[in-house]
Amino acid sequence: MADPRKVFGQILVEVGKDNPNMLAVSCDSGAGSGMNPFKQELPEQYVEIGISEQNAIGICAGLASNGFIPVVSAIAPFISMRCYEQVRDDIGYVNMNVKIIGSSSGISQSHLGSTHQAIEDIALMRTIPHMVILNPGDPFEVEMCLREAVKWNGPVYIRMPRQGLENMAPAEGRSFRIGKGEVLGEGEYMILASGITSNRALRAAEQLRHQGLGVGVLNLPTVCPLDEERIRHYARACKRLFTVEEHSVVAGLGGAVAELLAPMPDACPLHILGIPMGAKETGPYEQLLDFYGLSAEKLADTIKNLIG
Amino acid sequence: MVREFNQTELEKFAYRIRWDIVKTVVDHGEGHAGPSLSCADILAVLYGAVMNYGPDNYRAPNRDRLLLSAGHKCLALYGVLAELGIIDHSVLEEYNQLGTRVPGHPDMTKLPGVEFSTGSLGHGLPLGCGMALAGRMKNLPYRVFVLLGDGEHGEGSVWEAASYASANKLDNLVGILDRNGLQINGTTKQVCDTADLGKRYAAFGWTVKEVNGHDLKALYQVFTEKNTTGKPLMVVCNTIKSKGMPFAENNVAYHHWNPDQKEKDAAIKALKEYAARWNQ
Repeated sequence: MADPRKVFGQILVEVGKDNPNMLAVSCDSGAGSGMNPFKQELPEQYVEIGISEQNAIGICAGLASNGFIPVVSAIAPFISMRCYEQVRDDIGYVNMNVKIIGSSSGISQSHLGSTHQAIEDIALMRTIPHMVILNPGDPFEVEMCLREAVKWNGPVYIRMPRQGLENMAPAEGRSFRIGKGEVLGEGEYMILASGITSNRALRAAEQLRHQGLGVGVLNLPTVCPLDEERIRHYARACKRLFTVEEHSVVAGLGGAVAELLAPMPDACPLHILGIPMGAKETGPYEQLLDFYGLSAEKLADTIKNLIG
Repeated sequence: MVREFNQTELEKFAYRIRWDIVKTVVDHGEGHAGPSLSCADILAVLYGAVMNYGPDNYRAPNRDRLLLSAGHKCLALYGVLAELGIIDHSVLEEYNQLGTRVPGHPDMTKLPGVEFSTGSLGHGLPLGCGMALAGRMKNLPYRVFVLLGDGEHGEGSVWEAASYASANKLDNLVGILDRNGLQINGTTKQVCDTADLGKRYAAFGWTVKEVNGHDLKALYQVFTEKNTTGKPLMVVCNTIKSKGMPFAENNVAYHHWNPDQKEKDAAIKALKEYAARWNQ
């Protein structure tokens, strides 16, 4: 199990060393985001702003308009919601080269309640023009999302997990490209998963295959832009599609896929699995995921019942 | 551009900016004339004699930058850009037309000379902090001027940036407060009577100076004086909203001007009468 903050912190240093215009920006959040190694090794590229996210996004936009590549990280609800207007006006609408890391994404701050659990950030970021949305689910993806985001010419939002991660497949031989999904098994039923739910979807699919159901997984570390060609292909080829996300069932990955499929006369039915709106339960992380039906076991049960 | 002070030249520049503001609204229907007119003298001094900025270097990395945090004052900026030749005067004819490059709030993706798209109040000072920080990090000796409105100071993000600028000693940042005492639903005192803005900036750790926002010489002096305090500078400019349009001066109703023919004629007449001094 790898600590995503350690992976993030280490890759941030490597990328920062290669690129002196890249800045790590903290809203009193650097330590919590894993930026301490960066602060130590590249202090001239580290910017501390303090607890003022609206101000921070404006500062990042001002820096980006002058040739810097700011990577600003703070707890996901604060950096995506409190300053949504700044992200919209100062970054999205003007296509500023700022990378926003929503750390402790989803419900990974599982004891701290809804104020610290962003289950609406994908929904919000989907409405921002030019915004690429990345949702890494394992150490390989954490590394690749950060590297590719810094190379990408334009704004990027990355949901950064907090709890321990395992690679969903060995890193060797895997490729990563923004906008491309990863097929982890095919079947007449496909689970379209993203982020930390991809590993759980994989285990659920395995359980269901043992029960005789043909279930595969399309891992989507990029939520926006979607891998439209592949998703449309499975919508035509499969009997059912299931999206799974550590996010509200409203307007997240599920909503994005639904919008894509809606005009297709030959798309199969789609089920959107995720966290209900207004969710505010707390508890140990794995138990909380299970409570919301996102553990491998609960996913397998839900999908089996939906298949009927 | 950086120049010696010349009262007449700057008066003429400010007049031409006012002419552009008023004529654009008169010809094309409606706009934020009042707030634009109150800062015309400030912009004339800055662009006419203070800033290292002009048609030859408006994209240069070491240029001075001016940000309109109160983006609705953009009619004044459009006038400046036309007078400097950075845009052609004919662009002003597009105002309020479909596909215009000069919309009601400035858009950096549409028009050269707009340092950043603004319009929603409270964004400019954080943006300016970012630009000032960039200058320091790149060791470029430019200054960043951010023009703010007084009503705008209700927005918390302004104060977030004010704290940041002072804590980080951004002495290449110059805030300019166009203090015309009016906002939309009344005077600033009527809407939200807070402690004096100059005192608040001083409490936040800024160097604060106060000038008559229509005294060209005083403006020139305060903007050219070297800031050796190590703190960001806030210049509080006491101004009259709609200055240059006598029937509207200091009147809350003229934040957004939608003139009938009578007011159009009166505004043009007032400007022509003002300009007559140079025909003598």
